[in-house]
Amino acid sequence: MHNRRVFKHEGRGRSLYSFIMLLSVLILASSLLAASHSMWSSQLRINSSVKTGFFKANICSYHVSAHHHCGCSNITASLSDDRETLRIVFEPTGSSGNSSLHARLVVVNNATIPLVLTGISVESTMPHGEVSADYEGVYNASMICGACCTGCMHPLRPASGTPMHLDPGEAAIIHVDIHGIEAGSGGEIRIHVVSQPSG
Amino acid sequence: MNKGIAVSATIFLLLAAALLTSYAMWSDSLKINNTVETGEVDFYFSPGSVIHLDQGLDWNASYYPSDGYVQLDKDVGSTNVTLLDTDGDGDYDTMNITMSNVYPWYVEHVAFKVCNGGTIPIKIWKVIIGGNSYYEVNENQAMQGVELDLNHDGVNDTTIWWGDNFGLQLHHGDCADISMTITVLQPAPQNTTLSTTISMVAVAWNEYSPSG
Repeated sequence: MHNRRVFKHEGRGRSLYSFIMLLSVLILASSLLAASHSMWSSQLRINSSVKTGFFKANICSYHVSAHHHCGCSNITASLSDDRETLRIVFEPTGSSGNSSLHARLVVVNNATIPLVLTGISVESTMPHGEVSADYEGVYNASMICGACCTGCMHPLRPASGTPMHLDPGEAAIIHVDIHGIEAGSGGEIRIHVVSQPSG
Repeated sequence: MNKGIAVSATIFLLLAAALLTSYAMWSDSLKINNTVETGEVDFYFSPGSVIHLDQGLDWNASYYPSDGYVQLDKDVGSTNVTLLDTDGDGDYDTMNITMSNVYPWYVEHVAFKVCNGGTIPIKIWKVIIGGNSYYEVNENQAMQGVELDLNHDGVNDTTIWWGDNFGLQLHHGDCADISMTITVLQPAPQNTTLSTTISMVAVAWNEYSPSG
């Protein structure tokens, strides 16, 4: 029994010795490897910071009028939270006949980069006919949306061609006409301003 | 007794004298004093050498991924380039490029010089962009650059194109022209800051290897 214990201790000693030797070899090898990779060098840094701007076309103000075949539908209009969509609700009246709608939208570039008004998208729960959109020109947004009323707009430059470019702070007036609306049973029309960065 | 002591002392002294004589041979010695004064591997951004494209009206990467830019009719975005001495050793080791209010296809080209400020000849070894090391200009990358997804949303938002001069040997005081282009890609998010650090490494000329 005693002899067995002695042999066990000798075995541990040999294992410990082997382990230490192996560890030493590994440390030496890693040192040599590290030394071979620690070349003399000099490093320069370039820190690049790209701060992007944003674009956003908002409906600053609006005016909606409807022309009814029999003059008996009521409408209410409101803007979405992001001010990109005008929601027009036709109250059901049971009347018959088609209506037409004219919406006058003041659209402003409330962003940091120029944008292009690429179009108007119309969604309707009611069947309708022809849709047309036109614009008056490009205006200084502060003249339209500031303390001044909408009656004091002054064109900064004539509108020419399409698509319509708006620099930050500029605004434009868009007229949207929707004809042949079957409004007798009521429904909803959404006019959405579509834009994209200019350039 | 006294006689014995006297004899022993005499023998001891004779032995000691003989021993000392054997060590006092005629001799001469040479000395080698070894002093190793190492040199320095150091390069820096040359002050005053930085030029960049956007000095007013913006530039558009109209031909991307091919080379060439078109100047636009608006001054919307802007770029500011500054050099810094971050370790206080008297030369510029860091370049900060800050692009503001930029948008898809805004492009900026920055050219600068790097100079050998050390005493050991160096070679421009590699550039590290987006964590990857580049040891030479790949023909495709030279045309299109390295596209990066800096906001980690799964789509690349920025392209960095790097000019050549890998492996160029610079002796003390020699400088090399280097340029790079940063292009904002369409998927770049709005109202966001996209940051990255590019590292350029030079090594002693005798340890240069084009493959790392």
